[in-house]
Amino acid sequence: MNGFEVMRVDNGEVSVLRIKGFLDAHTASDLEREIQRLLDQKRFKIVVNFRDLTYISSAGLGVFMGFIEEVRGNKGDIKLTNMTPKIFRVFDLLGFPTLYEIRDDEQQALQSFNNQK
Amino acid sequence: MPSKKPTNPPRAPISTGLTRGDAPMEIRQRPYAQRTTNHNRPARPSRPANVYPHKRSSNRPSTNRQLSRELDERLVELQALFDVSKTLNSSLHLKSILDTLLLTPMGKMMVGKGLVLLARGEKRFVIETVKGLQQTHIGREIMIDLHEPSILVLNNEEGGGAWSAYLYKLGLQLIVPIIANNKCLGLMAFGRKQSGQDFTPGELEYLNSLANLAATAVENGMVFQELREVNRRLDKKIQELNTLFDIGKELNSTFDSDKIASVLAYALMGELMVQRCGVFVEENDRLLLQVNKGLAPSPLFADAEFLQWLRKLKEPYFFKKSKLELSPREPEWSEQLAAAGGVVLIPITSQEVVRGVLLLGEKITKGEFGQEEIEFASTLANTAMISLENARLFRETIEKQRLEEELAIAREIQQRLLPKAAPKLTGYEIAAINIPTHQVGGDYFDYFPIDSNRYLLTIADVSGKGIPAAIIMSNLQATLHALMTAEVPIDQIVARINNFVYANTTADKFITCFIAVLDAARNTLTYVNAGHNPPYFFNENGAANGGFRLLDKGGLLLGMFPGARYQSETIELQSGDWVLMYTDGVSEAKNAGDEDFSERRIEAVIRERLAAKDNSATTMIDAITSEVRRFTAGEPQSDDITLLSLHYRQTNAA
Repeated sequence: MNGFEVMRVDNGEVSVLRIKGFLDAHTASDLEREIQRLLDQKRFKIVVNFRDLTYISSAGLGVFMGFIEEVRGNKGDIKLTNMTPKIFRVFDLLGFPTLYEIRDDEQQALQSFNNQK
Repeated sequence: MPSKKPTNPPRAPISTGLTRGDAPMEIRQRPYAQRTTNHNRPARPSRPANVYPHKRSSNRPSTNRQLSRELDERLVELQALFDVSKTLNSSLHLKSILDTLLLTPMGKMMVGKGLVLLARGEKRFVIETVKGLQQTHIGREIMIDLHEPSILVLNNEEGGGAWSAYLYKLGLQLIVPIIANNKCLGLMAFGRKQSGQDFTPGELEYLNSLANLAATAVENGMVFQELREVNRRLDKKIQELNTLFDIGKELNSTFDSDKIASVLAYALMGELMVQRCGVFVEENDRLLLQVNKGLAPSPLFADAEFLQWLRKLKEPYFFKKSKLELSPREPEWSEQLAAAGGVVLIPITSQEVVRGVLLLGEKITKGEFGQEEIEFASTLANTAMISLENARLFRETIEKQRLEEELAIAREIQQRLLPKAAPKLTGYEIAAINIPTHQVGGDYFDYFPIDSNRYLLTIADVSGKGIPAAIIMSNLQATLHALMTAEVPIDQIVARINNFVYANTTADKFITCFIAVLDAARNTLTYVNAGHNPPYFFNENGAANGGFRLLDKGGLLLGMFPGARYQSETIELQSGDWVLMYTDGVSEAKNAGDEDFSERRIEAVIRERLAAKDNSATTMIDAITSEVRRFTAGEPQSDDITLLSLHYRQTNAA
């Protein structure tokens, strides 16, 4: 199996998850666990940085679907950044850009969270 | 706008209608050229772009200078037209083509509003781009029936069909068709000029020419857009295939049902943009909610009647719309499902039998599920179902292996409890056999010395099978060995064992037991029968004539009735006496006709053997077991078969 890693960096109220490797059906549960942990800690402002992600499958996208309502229900959001064209294509194909804020980099996403205050 | 009212009947009736089933209506406007000029020169879309009829008719210039100036103007206009045409044809991006097509004339003629409709099927037009109007109009479908499209001016709301009324209300009054190869690709619609003046014939010609020049670009743009759409659909299919492969890979690498169901749910949620998903899976002939992502908990998920109904689903069931009427409780269920966040139920089948059901919530886009999406969900779920079934088989195999191991342990315990060799006593022959079933029953026999002259002989049957039975049996053996002393009468020992078993087992565990003490010095046998099949006692000289005695003195079976009392009986043994103990595995051995071997056949074998006059305890047992085998003729053995035989023959030495 191909590896998948999540690194979490908290920046004030916002938590950044930098994900790396293959996000497929096998590793989706790792990301699920990580996001669940954030929600358990009442951290609802989440940025996911895709810079080092090489592959994403529908199951990976499903994880975002599974949490977005709860996150937004708690006045938070999941913002996505640093997608390679390959990753963006998958998001785009399935229609995600209309529902998720996709930014070029973390800084932009953080700023957009800060502007909401 | 033209000031004259139409005087002639319409040249080409045009029936139209907005979407949502409006009946086509007749439109009563006349082509603009007919109404606005005296020359009755219709502005036909097929007219070459550089022909300006009005200039050549009434407004012929009077001087050469004027003529030269007008020619220059025409040239500039022509140049502008070709420039636009070049721009239009240099792009394949439909939206930018249409934007150019709108903005160019709007700028030139100072018009504040405009839109472009493109034909998207039989009489079906869709608003593709708007200027000076709300963007929300984009995407709106309008039914327009144009027999012979030409430039139209809408005078008022009532004049035309529903479509023209719609455009008129938006402030759009000039309609210019975009025609390529005699096919109307679409319509441009413009509002008034900011100056308030009417469009001049020259402007109309300009628009017509522009529409003609743009037609090819629009057509190319449409083809290109369609190609892009097809490409995107192909990409989507590839993505779906990727998902299927990805899931297949994952599903085949695990036997964890929860994980499989979870992977299925997430893949569906990602692929279909759904936030809620539940997977019901069949287990032990019932459907159970295996995984729930985002659905509100509902008592419905455990409602036996609902789950039973789910198994009858043959096709996707949108419970807000369809009424299969398989159950009178459907309206109630639909409400509860909707309350839990569901929208559609999709059966998961394997070999055309429903093995599970998907419950999907609504799409985050609030859009409806397409046929392809439902099919995809179905395919994915069916794939996952194979894995779930494999997982179940795997679990069952593991469970079976575990049981096998347990049985092996039980068999070993049981075999260790049984004595290896019979005691050698002068004048006595003791033989026993235990044939356990595959399942390992609870039969037990034993013999051991109590003191130099006395021996304990026992046969017992413990309720149940497997390890629990083996453990009780081992406790019985330990208790017997510990309690059996020469000093205490065996009826009291049995009473104690009864209390001990009662105290140490559950209510459903009991033992039937025959315990006897053989005194080889006095040639007596003292026994207690605690609910066991009474052994046969007979003398070889008398038995042939039917002289059996059943050793049935004693009391109730062990472990059920605390404080039960037991009686014992002592028999004086004569030469030629036999005692044959057995368990119900012998008498209840069944043949193919479900008939018991029965005591009658045991007795028949005994008589037969005694008549043969060539007997030992061993041959007696062998004769019974081989007769049981013959009787059952290969039917599976349902219970342990155990026999213990004692034969006394006075020796010359004694």
